[in-house]
Amino acid sequence: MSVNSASAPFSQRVEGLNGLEAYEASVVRLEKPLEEVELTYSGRLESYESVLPYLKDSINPEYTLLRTDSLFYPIPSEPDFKSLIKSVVGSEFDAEITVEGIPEGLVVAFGGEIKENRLRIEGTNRLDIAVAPFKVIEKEPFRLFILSEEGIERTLDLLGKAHEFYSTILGSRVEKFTVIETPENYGGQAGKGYALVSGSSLRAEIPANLYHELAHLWNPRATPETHLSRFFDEAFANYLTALAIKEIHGEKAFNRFIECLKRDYEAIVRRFPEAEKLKPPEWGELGLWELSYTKGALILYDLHLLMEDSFYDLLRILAGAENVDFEGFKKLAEELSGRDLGDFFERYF
Amino acid sequence: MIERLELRLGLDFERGTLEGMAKLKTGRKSGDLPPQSGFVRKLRERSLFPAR
Repeated sequence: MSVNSASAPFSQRVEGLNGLEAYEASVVRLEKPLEEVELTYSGRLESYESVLPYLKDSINPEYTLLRTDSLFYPIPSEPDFKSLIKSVVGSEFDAEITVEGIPEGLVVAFGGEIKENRLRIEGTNRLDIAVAPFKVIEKEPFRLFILSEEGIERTLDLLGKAHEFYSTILGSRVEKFTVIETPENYGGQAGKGYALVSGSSLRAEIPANLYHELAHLWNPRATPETHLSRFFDEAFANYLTALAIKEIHGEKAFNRFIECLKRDYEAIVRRFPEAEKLKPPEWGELGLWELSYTKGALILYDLHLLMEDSFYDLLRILAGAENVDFEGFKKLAEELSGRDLGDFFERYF
Repeated sequence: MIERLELRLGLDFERGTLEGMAKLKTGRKSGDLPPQSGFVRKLRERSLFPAR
């Protein structure tokens, strides 16, 4: 992909990103910094599986996916991996997109508003657009873009139960939730009010991935620095998933889920023995976000056992809270539990 | 960081190509725009429970 023209003088060249050199980007440098820029660009969108296994995005009639990860739109950042992530997670933008060239029989799936070929989303930090022969199912507050109707009725029922459970413990949300089915191994992802989920995850006996993505609607908003570790989105989403599993599928399923988290964590430690000594604020710096999904959720499980019912007050206050950081999290947990949680925070944070 | 984005995308399904026109408003003055890169997000495809 390369830039053909821009509203200001620029230079461009392909560079590996600092911190992830195998990932090469067409880096455009403007002659002088600008607050607004207009540019036209073109190129071929191909799979980038050799660098990131889940990036299979391409433009083809069977399944097309355009997402932030494959950078089909410009992102302002230093040509540095950390800077790029900060720019993405720190953004909250409104987008209006016009998509042209969709053949008859294919449907555009998007997490925001869709009016013919015009798409709109507000307050997002990423964009995901899929084009495929989707069937669309709408049942408030859900909208599903699916590749097959098989098993979907059950999924909708479970999704409704999880939504009701989260609303009960965390407060209601008026937002719609959109699910876009992907082929296998594209990597589940969530944006504002939507999720990309594979067919097998969508129809799993316990659709944990779907519960996880739905839980993101109630995420606390961490400060950009704190967000790097993914603790306040991924650890929270995974522990909320565990609680939803307990509510919907019972105690045994909850225990199995917790055991899976432990096994996955142990597998990470076998690969990176130093991970055992790291604390959540350090995870992001080293790119070990996997720890938030596993160890992070297990830390919240321990905190739940310690705080008992006051843990739900903590979840409810944090859901949708702004500028959350580790220090504020500790203070709030101690205040709500009425106990000195010094040992706990000393051990884990 | 992005504050506002207007995007016009032309997709060619036969050739697998994309033509884009982006109007980008950034939150602060920015000199570097890498229009083709990406960022890692943990691969979460594998469900913790097997599919039915």
